[in-house]
Amino acid sequence: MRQVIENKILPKVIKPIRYQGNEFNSVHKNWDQIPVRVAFGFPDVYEVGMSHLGLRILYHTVNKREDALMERVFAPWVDFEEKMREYKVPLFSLESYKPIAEFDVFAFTLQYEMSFTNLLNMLDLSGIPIKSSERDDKWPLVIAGGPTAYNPEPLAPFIDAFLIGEGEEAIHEIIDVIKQWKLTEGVKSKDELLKRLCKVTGVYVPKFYDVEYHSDGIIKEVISNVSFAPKKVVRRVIKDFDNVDFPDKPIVPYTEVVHDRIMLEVLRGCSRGCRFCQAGMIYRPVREKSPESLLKQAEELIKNTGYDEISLTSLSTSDYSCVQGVLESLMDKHGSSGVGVSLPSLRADNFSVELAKQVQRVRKTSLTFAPEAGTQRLRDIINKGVTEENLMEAVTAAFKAGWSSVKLYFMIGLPGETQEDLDGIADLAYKVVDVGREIMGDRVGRMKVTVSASSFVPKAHTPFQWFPQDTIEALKEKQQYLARRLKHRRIVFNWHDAKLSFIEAVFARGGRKVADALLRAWQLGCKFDSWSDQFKFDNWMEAFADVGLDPSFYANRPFSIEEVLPWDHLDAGVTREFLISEYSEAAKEQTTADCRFEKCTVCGVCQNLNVQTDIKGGKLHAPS
Amino acid sequence: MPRVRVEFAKGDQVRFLSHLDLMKTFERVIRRAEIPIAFSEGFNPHPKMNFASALAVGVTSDSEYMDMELRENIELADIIRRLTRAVPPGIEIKRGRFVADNTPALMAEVNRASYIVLAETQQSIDSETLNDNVGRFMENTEVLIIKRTKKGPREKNIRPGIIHFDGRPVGKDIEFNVTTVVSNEGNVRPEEVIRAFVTKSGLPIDYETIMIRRTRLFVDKGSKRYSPIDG
Repeated sequence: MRQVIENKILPKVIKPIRYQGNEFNSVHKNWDQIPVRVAFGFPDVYEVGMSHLGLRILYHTVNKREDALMERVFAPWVDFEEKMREYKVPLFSLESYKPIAEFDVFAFTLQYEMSFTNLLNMLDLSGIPIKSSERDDKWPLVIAGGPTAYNPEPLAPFIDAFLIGEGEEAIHEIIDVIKQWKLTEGVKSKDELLKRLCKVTGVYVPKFYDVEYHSDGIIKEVISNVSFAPKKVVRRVIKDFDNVDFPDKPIVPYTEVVHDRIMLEVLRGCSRGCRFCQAGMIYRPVREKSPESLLKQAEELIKNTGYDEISLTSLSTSDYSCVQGVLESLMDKHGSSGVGVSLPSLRADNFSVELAKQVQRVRKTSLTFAPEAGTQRLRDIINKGVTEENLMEAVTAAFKAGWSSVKLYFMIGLPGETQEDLDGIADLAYKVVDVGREIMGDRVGRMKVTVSASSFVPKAHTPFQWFPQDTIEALKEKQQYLARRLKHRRIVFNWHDAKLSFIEAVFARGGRKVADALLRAWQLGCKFDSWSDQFKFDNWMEAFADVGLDPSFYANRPFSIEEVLPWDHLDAGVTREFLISEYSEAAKEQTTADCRFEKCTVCGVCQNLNVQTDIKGGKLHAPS
Repeated sequence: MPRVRVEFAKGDQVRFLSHLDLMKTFERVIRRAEIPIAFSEGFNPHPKMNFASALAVGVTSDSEYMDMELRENIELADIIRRLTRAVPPGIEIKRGRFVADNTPALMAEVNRASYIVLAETQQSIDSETLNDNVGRFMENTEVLIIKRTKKGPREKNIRPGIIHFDGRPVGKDIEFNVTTVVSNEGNVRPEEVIRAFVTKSGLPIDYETIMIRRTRLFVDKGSKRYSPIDG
């Protein structure tokens, strides 16, 4: 098979290196001597998948075990798929070039809804029956995790088991169960395996739950149909984050990937409490790594990869209590050998000139701020603590430190948005341009202000999960309005395809029924939906019509506080009471403070999951 | 500053690296090996390294060359040992030597490349037929191909850039030996030669799935030929 791929297929496709494997630090184990073999599937192309830290962590964690191996597989691009089908080559792993169907487990990560069709396509390319119910005991166990698994229902018919929450510890427990089951003498039924997996906290086996509906299509209840499945599946969380396994020898891709640098995770979780943000709810509480761990890891990583850039990653890196010191130490130690540091996620309310200078010491990286909304009123509604003053101070610091371009991220279609808020986006952009012009003087010709507007997509387990998305027409109108207002030589305006956001909303809030539409859409040729040149909106609409579903029922309908939501049987730690309270505070335009700076907000995570906020730099001060 | 020249092979396992990928890879190899390479000045410092000639995606090579400028002295054996430890599977560090400051850049010096090209046939071809066709092909003073460039398709005469060309049947395949000019002016790629030959001769050879291996990069100065590693 390898010969056919290398000699017949690879010379004829674009970017053959995506399928070559053999990268530095990739792990090649003796297949025949390893009892549990896991294929990690990332439902997008190599360059996207290799930029995902979760894959790196789990690859390292599993391959450290002597009794398990993990190999990688990505979604083959359309040209490669065509050749695979022509030469009848099944989907294979990059390490051993083994067909995926020969693995014990096919494990997917779910990073965004619009990768679902690729997941189905990858099962099909592997020759594995797509529906769980059509796979008998001989097929690999198909599992999935990641943030999008917090509403797993659209994939319920296709996935045998989901893991809800963080994977570093749970993956060991899952592998232990599979190994025990595999080594047990006698007939091995997959049902028995799934039953045993139910005992692992965080594991959700959809076939053990039935969904009943009211006549209007709203869910009546979701109940377990077996005695051994938990009534509520509780999410996994790492308690001692500072000491959790972190990859010290990550794979170094040969070709440029999206995030082509060392990814050093400085903290996990965010308690700022933006009400639209799913990551801000499902990764709570904030747990930081100690500066000592980070500096040690950074040194190892540079030595083991040869990268010239370290990205300090997290949901909000300028919130890290020790960021200044860690930055300084990193630059002092590695700056002279040409290693730079980048901060991918900054908040406008704590970005300082000092911070800017440190990052500047080796090379300029792009600088992005996310005010999210155009007026203070709307920023209060969404609980984005940043003020206009904060933003202006931050961009002033940036321009003064020598940056010539800044990016501003906004969201349109947020609950409570009015015409004033759209104008507010434009006004802010022009104010930033004015600040830049004043500071840059003669060099103003090099200045660029990029304004990006994404569309609000209500997400599960957030205070805004009950809010509807704007219709496609309304979103388009707002985009066009902003495009007109932001016509300026120094401003670049980007926006997201409203049709894509609409489909995303359907799967972000849809229950099991939308699975039929997903399958149908894939049959109609939908895949790589997040790639604008591949997205086929008309096929999607045809799919919804074919299965008799109204997509706006999921995307554009306000959900009632009383109704049972498709993900209500999953416990993310954050309580329903907290989400409802935040939902009402939004209506009152009231903000809620971050528990790192003020009192506990009783979101429920620490209490329910027996875990604590862990700040290494001591108690923080409230931002001014 | 000391300048060291290194010879390396690009094997099957890294066949599909582009030239850009290979350069990036070496940047990282050098950092992992902790070689004290010099950096360019300016806002975006680059390690000072240069390659002899770009190698296309899918092509392997027995001998490629790279020059590095160093910011401090280090023994040659140490450089080779460190690089060898740091390269990914498929790249082999073969040997090296220090070169004088006034040595021309590799890119300016190396002007010939030899290749072995393995091509599959739809039906077997005997050596006599093959030789006849090769002979006739080489008798041409002009072999025009269409090259796609940024400014649209362009005609190019590749015949002056073909220094040597022959072939012999090996089982069902044909093995070609090709030597071409590599330089900024008259660069000719082996796949261009095979494709032009198959098109002109009409022989049933599949030129789309050929395997190309570069066997030698060298300097031809008319009176003498030498490898850049021997000087």
